[in-house]
Amino acid sequence: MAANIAAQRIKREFKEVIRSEEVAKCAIKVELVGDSYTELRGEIGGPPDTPYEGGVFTLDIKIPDTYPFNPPKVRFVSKIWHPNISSVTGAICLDILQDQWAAAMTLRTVLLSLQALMASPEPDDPQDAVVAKQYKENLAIFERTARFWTSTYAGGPPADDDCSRKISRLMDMGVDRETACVALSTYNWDLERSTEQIFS
Amino acid sequence: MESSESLTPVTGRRLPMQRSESTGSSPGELEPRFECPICLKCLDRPVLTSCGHRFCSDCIQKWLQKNRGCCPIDGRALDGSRDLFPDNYTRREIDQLSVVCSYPGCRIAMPLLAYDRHVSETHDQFEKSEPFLFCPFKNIGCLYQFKNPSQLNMHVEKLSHHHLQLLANSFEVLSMKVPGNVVSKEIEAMSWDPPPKEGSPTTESSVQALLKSLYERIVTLEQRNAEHELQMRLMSDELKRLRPKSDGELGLRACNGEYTWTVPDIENKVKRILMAGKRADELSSILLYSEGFYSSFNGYKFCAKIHVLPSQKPHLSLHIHLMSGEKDDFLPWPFTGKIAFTLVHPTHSALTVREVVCSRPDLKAFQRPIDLMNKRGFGYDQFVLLSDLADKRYFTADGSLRIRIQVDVF
Repeated sequence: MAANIAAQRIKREFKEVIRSEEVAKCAIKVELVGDSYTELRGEIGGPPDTPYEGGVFTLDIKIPDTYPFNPPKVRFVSKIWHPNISSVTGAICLDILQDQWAAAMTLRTVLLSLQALMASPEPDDPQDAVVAKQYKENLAIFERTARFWTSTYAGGPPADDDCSRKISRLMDMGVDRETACVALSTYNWDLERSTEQIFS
Repeated sequence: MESSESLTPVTGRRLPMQRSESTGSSPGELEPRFECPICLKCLDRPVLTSCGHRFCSDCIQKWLQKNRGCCPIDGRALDGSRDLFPDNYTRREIDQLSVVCSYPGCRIAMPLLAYDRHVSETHDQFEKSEPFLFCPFKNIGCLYQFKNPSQLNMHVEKLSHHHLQLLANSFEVLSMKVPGNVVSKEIEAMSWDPPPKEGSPTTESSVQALLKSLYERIVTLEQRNAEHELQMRLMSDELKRLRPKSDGELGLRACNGEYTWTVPDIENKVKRILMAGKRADELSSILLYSEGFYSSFNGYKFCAKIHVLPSQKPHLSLHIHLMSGEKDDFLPWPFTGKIAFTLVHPTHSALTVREVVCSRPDLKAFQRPIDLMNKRGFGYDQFVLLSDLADKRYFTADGSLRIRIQVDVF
């Protein structure tokens, strides 16, 4: 019965998201996965004037049986370079998805909050310490890295040539693309230190 | 207020809506003030909070029990016993609203609150059974149901013998039922006759029996054939998957410490560094590792590394690194032995460069590797001048270099 309330509410929310003006502007989108209302796939367009602009980020949304009394479980499927989102698992650190959840929130407000989080990171409450450190210590490099990840994993505008060249240098040595990308991003695109790290 | 009913289609299902000019809500929606923010349905026994928000009584009670007593809308503290008031005014307003069900052929009028229940109890079961696809042989007794056409197609393909059996059965039953039917008379006659002897003249019914048994035989054979084909495909896939792995790995294990490394496409990179001279930057440096090879089947695992750093007089450096092998636990450490490095010249054997060195127990390079690979390597920083590689034509026709490493364990 509890699951039924969750499913019924998701059905109603669906209408809300589909009709909302954000969908018309292609900024957010929600789709069902399979025919139950417990698994959904969301999409967020990268906010303008951020390194995520032009990318489309896919989310994995799981609706618990106790919804809306407990928050949905949301995770990024597209890899993203952001202080509050794990670059490895896509796990999100956002209060409304944890203890600040309220039953009046909906999928639409969750997606809009995530979009707002992308536009203004909170490096002091990080999910990914490496990214947060880069954000605080070297904002220019952070933006370059985030833009590169948007281009590589979220279909953003073409990537920085210098970054791509360094990635292919590592790939020439037999390193796979993802390992190369993570190492270079972590070591501020310093080719020598990244190489050292990979082969040690 | 005006409470005319009108309905809107949503994914094949219809929900009631109130058209209300006074609040200006768009057609097709429940008036927002009658919607519970928690379940998004029409307010059921509405309550008003001290902060001025309306919810269904059950919804807000459940929320306050689960969470630390905050309003789901503005987050103000709420005490379930003091801050909630039954909103009977709104309740009466809702009670007066009625809708007419829009399901084809239903048209029952009812209070708005009862509508959801009516749909789930009267129409949803019908809706649920609809998407199932039945097997086209349903009428003769195949009771399978499917959710999508591809599953259905697979079923029809795979169970053809089952369907033929059903068809044969139903044919038999049917023909028995038809009075005066030739077939039924023949079957009847067959049960009176003694079984036909071998070589006896064939009657029409025995031909039919033969046909039937042949037919059954064809079906079983076809079925078996399909199974065999599937098995063959699985086995050839498995073979394809295993072959490259076993060949490569076995070769590297059984090479007995003699490994030939063909470094592909290196000629152009070397020439680029030579051309660039002083202007060559870090990006054009070369760093390549070979596959891991073994000194004996269960012996030490090594890999070779070549490295070129652009400089005034660039050299090709050649090292080997110890790698973690599966049998490291059983081997003596540090490694002691002799290592020969050879750069093979493709045409003039006199130009082949060969250096032999013995291991030194004091070097870290020969200690057991902790990670995948020992960080310290051993070999020659200046094995051969880069310009010699090009001038004396060490490259093969396709631009690769051949390097041979021989490891002898003492």
